[in-house]
This record gives sequence, structure tokens and C-alpha cells, in this order.
Amino acid sequence: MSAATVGPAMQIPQRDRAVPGGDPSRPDGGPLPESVAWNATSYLLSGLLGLGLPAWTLDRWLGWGWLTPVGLLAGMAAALYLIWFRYGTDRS
Amino acid sequence: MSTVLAAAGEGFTPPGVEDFWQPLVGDGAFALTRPMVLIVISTAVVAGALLLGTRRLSVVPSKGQAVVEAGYSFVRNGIARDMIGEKEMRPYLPLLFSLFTLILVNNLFGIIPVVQYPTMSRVAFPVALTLFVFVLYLAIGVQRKGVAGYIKGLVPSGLPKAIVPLMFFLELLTFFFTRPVTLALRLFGNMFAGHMLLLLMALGAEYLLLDSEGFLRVLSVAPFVMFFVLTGFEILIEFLQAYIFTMLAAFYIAGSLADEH
Repeated sequence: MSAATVGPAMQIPQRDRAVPGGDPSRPDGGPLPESVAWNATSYLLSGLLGLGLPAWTLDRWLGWGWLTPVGLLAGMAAALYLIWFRYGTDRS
Repeated sequence: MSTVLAAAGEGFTPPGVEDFWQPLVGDGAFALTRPMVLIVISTAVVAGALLLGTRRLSVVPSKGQAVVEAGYSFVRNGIARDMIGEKEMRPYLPLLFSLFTLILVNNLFGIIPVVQYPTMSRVAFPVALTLFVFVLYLAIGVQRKGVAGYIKGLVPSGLPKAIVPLMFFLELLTFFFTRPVTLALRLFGNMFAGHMLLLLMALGAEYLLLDSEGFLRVLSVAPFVMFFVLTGFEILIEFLQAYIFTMLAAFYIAGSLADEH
């Protein structure tokens, strides 16, 4: 499948782009798109844990109550941004 | 199980985590359990099948050789070459092939009559496999780039300066915590939940048929049919999970090998 037939929305795991973990010397480019998708789970969890857990702890400590959802959302956003930056942009 | 039901007197006792604890010899922390025996058997099965399949190699392969070659070329071309690349994949092929075959056989144990126990539904087994992959990809990364280089290489280059610390924190968490944890728990969870579902259907059918009255007995057909449907579905999951585990192991190794980023 060439990029032209797929359309812009499907271009994220493009085969002719150097994805991290890929071998730039290979004609077919980066690793299988599925692996990127499965690995994205780890990043999403990292975002939720990494910002959600400190926010929850602070919430408990200060007794505010609104920091946990903010932390979770910020973590999710940061993780999504990181996934997009890592696998969705052309940095070569 | 039926003695438990009889002792309970009335009502259906759903299967639980305790059904997966099956010591064969002894009890407690040093018991010899069913999955322990199964993983030894699976090692023998894999080794035996590979030895038999490659005993008399010929250009026109025998049936056994053809099966072994198909499995090997699937891991080599379908996973290792696409993930790591032709140039560097060789040292990691034995590991990836062993992982795939071992996990696959142990998963299939879940639906093979009499054996009927997916080894990976005890969390220690996927954890052990994951620890090996985890240590390996850390070691490769440190060997290639040095400790400082590896840590620095966690963050993709070209990020806006202001968010580098946050992203570094997330990458660190991903590499050292969520990656290995999700790798192990994905395999464990799929095998555990799938087998639990089969157990629920089987026990439900048994209970409706033997311990209920009248029309309820007829209803036992439903869980019985579902048992077979889900068994077919399980075969799919078992192949898929073996594939995903191997693919992600290759992906992590490839990430440590890459010079860039």
C-alpha cells in the first residue's frame, strides 16, 4: 500500500520512514506498525501513572480533591504527545 | 470440584483464582505444581519436535521439516527481519524462536485435553520470561551506547526544550516500569482470563446438568456450546499472544540496537 492510496489519517506507521528501532539502511524502513501500536500501551500507562500518581498523593496530602483528574488528564496528554512525536512525525 | 459443590450444599460456586493453584507434590512455597511440570514437559516437547523435524535435512523437506521450517521462517522473516533488520538479527534469532515456540506450546496446553492448563496463567512464568528480555535489552543498550548515552538516548531528539524533563521522566518510567510490566501482564492476563472463562462455562454446564432440576437442565446446552465456541476463540488468542510477546521482545531489542534517537 502506498501512502497515496491510504490517505493522511493512516500515515502514522509508514513503512518508508525511519521509526525509532528501525534500521535506516533497510529498504522497507522501520519495525512493524503493530509493534508500535502495542508499545503505545506502555506509554499511555506511563503518562497516567507518572503524573496521576503524584497528583493523587498531593491531593491526599493537601486535601484539595481536584488535582487527581488534572494529573490524569495531563499525563494522558503528555503520553499522547510523546507517542505522536516519536512515531508520528518525520524527524529524519 | 464436585465435592466442593456438594459440601457447599446449595448454589453454584463460580471458579476463582484458587482453582489455578494446583500443587502435585507437597504444599506451600516449595510445592511441585502442575504448571512447573508443564513447563518442563513443554521444553521437552519443543526440543523433541525440533530435533525430529531437523534430523534428516533435505532440499525437498519431509513433513516434519516443512513444519519446523515454516515456524522458523515465520519468526525469522515475519518478526526478526521486520523488527531488527537483516544486518543485526542473527544473534537474537535463537532467543526469539525459543520464546515463540515455548510460549505457544505452553499456551496451547490450555486447550489440549488432560493437560488443560495454560502455564502462563501463573504470573511467575511470564515474569521470568519478561525479566530475561528486560535485562537483555538494557544490556544491549548499555553495551552499545554506555550508561550515559543510553539514558540520554531515551528521549527522542528534536523535542522542544521546555518539555524535555517531563518527557524524559515519562520515557524513564516507560523503559524501566511499564514496558516490562505490560509485557508480562498482557500474556498472563490473556491466558488467565481466557482459561477462567472456559472453566466457568464448563462448571456452569456441569452444575446446570447435574445439580439442577427440570427445565434448567435443558439450559445447560447454552454454556456447553459456549465452551466449544470459546475454545476455538482461545486457540486464536494463544497464537496471538505468543506472537505479540515475541514481536515486542524483538521491538525492544531493536530499540536498544538503534544508534539514532
